[in-house]
Amino acid sequence: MTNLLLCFAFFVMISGGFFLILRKNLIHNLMGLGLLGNAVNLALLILGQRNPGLPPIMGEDQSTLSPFTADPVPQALILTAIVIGFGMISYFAAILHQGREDFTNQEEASAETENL
Amino acid sequence: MIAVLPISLGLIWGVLCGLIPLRFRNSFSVLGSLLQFLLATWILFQTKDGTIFSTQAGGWALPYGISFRLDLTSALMIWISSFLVLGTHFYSLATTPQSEEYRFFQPVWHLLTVGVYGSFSTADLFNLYVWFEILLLASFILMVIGGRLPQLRSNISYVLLNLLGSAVFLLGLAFLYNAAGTLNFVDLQGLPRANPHIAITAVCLLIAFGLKAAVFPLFAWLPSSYPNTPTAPLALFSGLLTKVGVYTLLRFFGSPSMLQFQGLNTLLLILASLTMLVGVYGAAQEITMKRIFSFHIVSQIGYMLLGIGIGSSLGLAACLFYLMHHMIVKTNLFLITGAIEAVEGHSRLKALGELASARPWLAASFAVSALSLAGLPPLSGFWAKLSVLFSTVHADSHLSPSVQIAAKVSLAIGLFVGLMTLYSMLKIWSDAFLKKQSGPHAVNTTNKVPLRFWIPITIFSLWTLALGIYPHWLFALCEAAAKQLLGQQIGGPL
Repeated sequence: MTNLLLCFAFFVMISGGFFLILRKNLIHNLMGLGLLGNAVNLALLILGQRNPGLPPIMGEDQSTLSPFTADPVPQALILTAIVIGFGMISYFAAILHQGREDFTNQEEASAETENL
Repeated sequence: MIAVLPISLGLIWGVLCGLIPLRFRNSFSVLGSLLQFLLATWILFQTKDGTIFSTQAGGWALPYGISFRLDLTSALMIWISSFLVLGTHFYSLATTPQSEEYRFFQPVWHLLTVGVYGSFSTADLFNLYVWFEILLLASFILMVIGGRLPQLRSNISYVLLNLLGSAVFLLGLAFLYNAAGTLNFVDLQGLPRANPHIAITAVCLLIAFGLKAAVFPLFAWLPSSYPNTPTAPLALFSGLLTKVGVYTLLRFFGSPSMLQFQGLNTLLLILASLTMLVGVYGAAQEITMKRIFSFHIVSQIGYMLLGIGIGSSLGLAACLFYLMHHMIVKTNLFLITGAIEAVEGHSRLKALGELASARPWLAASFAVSALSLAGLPPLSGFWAKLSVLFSTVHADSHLSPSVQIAAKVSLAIGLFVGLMTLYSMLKIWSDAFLKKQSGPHAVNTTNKVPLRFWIPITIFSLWTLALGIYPHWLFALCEAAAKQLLGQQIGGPL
């Protein structure tokens, strides 16, 4: 049941992400990228899970991870993907900000030349 | 330990470059590229007898640790990349002022090379994703440093498409982990094929790598973003970024692995043919040199894909040799275009002319590189094209009939595209170098081409000449690398 819900959430997020990326508004594109990145992270979680709810922690007397715990690899992958995604989103936002200043400058310049 | 040396050197140098005063930063940074080149040469000598260096990062055992692996293919790619980076870096000094605006240029430059070397030396697919993101982020930044509006605008489409590609890549990895339980490539080679999840993974990875390599339906970002990039980063990107995509296609779809699915070879050959055609037609209708060369990157990618599609050891060796030739020649053409832009102020064919008499040396190096790109003997491009087309003729008889038909068709297309490339180069030659020009566009002979432009241009031109005259030594290395990729023994000393 949980899996079905997660899959449903994945599809909603990925279709929403694509919808936003295909729009003309750059801010919407930015949000779409964020949504898409999170959708993919969710996919990693859904596809990589094993024994959900049991933390992958070793006891002091153990030297290998018991197979009856959750798989730590997808968690590590998702963490890395979140960090990278955050960097990318912030770069994109910075470019939009920079571009917006340039756009307004250009509009002002063209308005001034029209007034002259 | 050796497997992580190129990455560590690049990372350390990048950080140091950010710390030292602006006055010394440029020369210090080039010293790093020189060291990287020497290191890569040493590694190439160590690996050419078939030795494979591998390292587990942090000493973690396989399912959790990240492994790095340098075989001959990786060593060759790292070596040619570091050669290219060194030349381009030297060139970039002339266009990079030591000012506040450019203060992050050198660290980010090293970060880009680290991303490239990392992609070449990792053996873990998720780690490959991380290196992809590192080189993407660095390329985003290099693209806009000192940039204005058109640069930002074309940057946005580049960023969007590449991030979309990364998302698809990661989705593919999720499916792969679910099906195989590992992302280490050496482990993947041993697993059985024909699992439905693997097919999804393979298609996702094909899309992600194809986008990176600018293969047919996914090439649109390249001609729209490259021409607006400043010359030095552009020359670096043209040599490195798409070639990382080709390398990953070569490694993951060329060598036997569980990612190969039914009909992959035919699909690759069809994509290769379409890529060659689309690129060369796109180039035929462009009128500025940078745009023409950007489209030619796309068409040349097709030839490399052709070698991967054939999949024989000759095909893979031809693909590798094509990479060795193409990375340098294409970069050199962009460097020459940059030199023309620096002295003439633009690279529109209509307004150029008489460069052959005004700047004979620039014309000579252009002629060498352009004819090499078109594939005329005795230049390196001839041998590269010959070996790729030869591999399609000798497509093994054990391949399925559809692959053989596709190989024959792509051979014909390859020959035709070679002719079209020559046409494109002759168009540039007659317009920019021969045409008489007077009035406001009269050729400007007062500006000198800086020495920092000359040195890399001359060295790269000599490279294609030398490789054309003595192709054997490098081709033997490429053949050995291809055999290693296919899991065969490398026989005898090279």
